[in-house]
Amino acid sequence: MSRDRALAKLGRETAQGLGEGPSSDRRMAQRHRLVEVASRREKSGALVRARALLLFAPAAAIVAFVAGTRLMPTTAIDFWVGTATVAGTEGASLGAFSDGALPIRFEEGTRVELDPGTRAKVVRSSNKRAEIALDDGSLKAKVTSKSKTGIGWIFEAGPYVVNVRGTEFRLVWQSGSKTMDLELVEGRVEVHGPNIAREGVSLESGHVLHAEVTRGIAEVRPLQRAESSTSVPSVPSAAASATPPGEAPTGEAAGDIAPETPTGRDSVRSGPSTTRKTDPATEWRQLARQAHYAEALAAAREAGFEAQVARVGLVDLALLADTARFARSASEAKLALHALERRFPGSRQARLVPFLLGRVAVDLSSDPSEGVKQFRRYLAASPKGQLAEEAYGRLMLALEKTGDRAGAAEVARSYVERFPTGPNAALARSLLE
Amino acid sequence: MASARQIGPTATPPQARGNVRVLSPKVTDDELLAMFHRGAPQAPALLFDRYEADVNRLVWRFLGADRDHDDLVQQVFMDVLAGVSRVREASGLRGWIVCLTVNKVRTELRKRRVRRLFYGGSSDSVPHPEHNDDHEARDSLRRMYALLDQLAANERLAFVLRYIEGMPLAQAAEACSCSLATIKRHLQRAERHFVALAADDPDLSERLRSGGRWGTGEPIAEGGES
Repeated sequence: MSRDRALAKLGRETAQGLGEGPSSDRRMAQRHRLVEVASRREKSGALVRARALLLFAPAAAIVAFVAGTRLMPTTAIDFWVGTATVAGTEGASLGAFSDGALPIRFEEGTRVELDPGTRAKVVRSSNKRAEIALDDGSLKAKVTSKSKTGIGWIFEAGPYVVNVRGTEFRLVWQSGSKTMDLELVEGRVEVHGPNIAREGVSLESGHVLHAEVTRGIAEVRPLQRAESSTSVPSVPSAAASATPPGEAPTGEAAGDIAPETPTGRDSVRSGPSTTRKTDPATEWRQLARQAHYAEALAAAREAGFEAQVARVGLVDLALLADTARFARSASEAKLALHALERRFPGSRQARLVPFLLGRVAVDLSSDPSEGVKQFRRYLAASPKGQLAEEAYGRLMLALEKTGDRAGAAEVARSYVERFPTGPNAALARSLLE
Repeated sequence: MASARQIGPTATPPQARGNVRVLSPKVTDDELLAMFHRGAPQAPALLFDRYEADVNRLVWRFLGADRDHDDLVQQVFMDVLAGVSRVREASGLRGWIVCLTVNKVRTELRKRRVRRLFYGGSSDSVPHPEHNDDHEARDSLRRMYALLDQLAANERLAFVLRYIEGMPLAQAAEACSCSLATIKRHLQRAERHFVALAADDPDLSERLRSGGRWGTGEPIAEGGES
């Protein structure tokens, strides 16, 4: 064997014997130290700046007077993601699960809701400027006016930048087709991006901007025309939605934004009022499939909710449970979910019932203890189930809500071990700090 | 003003402006740099999450389970934080951090060499405490690093990068901020010194001769790295 090869083998064995480095506890301690030091450095930097400002106070006062609030210190504004009482962080990727919307509530009053399956980031949230990057999917936003808060809002959708002054709109970005649609319900926005003049385009309320990077299209049309146009693919319409973005839901958790709204062309063309001529037992299914959950639930009640729960098949019962859940009726959601578990034991849908009951308990009933019970039940029955990772995450948060920090830390530890790169791993680690 | 109960005793991390919390640390190098350029308070933690594995592994392999390991990692990250806002190309971030790590270890090795010259003393490495319960293997590791302690800093860096970290020569040269010819020269010297020193260690010399595996005596399979 050559010397080279022998050394290489020796080196590999050394690496194997050494491992990859110190234990995770030590790494967490390293992280903690670094964050502390970085924080101190930032503070001392701020102190130096403050001292310098003091030396030049007279000049600074004049400049500050001239520049107004521009020289005011930048501070963060808090925001909360989802129904949890957990503050979000700048730069973190946020993703709405496929079965529900994700509300983001900002301290100064702005509400943003990611539609199911949407990915986005809160790039910045300061008292001067807030930025949201929509990676893929659609969102609804109700932005508090800049004149009230002094905060300039920017929404990025691919290469498009939307400057907002205080308004209500719906933004869609399909990263695959590089298509952007912006529907302005109220207020005024300015949009910059490909195929748009350098100074940007100003969009008035009741208008739609449709832009496609690859086809070089950027056109503004009234909302009405957009609805009947065939060139606008899958533009969700806030104006035609069953629950307008500004209308408050009955539950506490979703802020001021409706939990679910229709997301396809069908919902634009056939609003709930045009479909309510059929049998309510048929109608609720149609409405639910169009994501008009509030109307669907009303129709199901008309048809006799309990009778439906007792009569319909597996698929429709799951749809009915979803309808009640998305319409934020905790009691009816629980009724349907319990029936699903009782009537169709062993089915895939029935296996998910404890998880969904946990969500209903935490999100709709504000009952984290029940949530803990149900998430534990799901994990006991399906430890490797498709929602195991999410169940661990939600169990962790529910335990925190009940005040059981030791229990939350224990689950956090299990989470980190099982899902070291999972979406809640950082949160779990922070609970262990 | 909205209010929300925060989670855990460290709900508001010291570095945070406002009540921020990491929900997902997955950021790209581009995003990370952008966050540093605009002074995002959580950027240091996200940078650590992204690169700690690389830095920890490198320092660990350069020095073994060293008592100063955590301090060195900390110093590397402090250097990174001090200079990251000047980094413009995200594609160069990882390489730059590796270079900083190598430089930090080089400086440390040189300091230790001087300390040993003036004050005497032995290796700073200790038997691996965490991952290896095999006493024989731990002893082998200790002797391996005691031997590496006798190499010059550049030789040791080249040796570890090439043979323990398994880095291609070009990449090792980049990590050491030197040319390919220079790293080859360092490596040749390191090999020569290492083999000469290992001749005095019956275990190591036997392993080099027979290619036996640490602690098991298992023969080295043919077809290894050339």
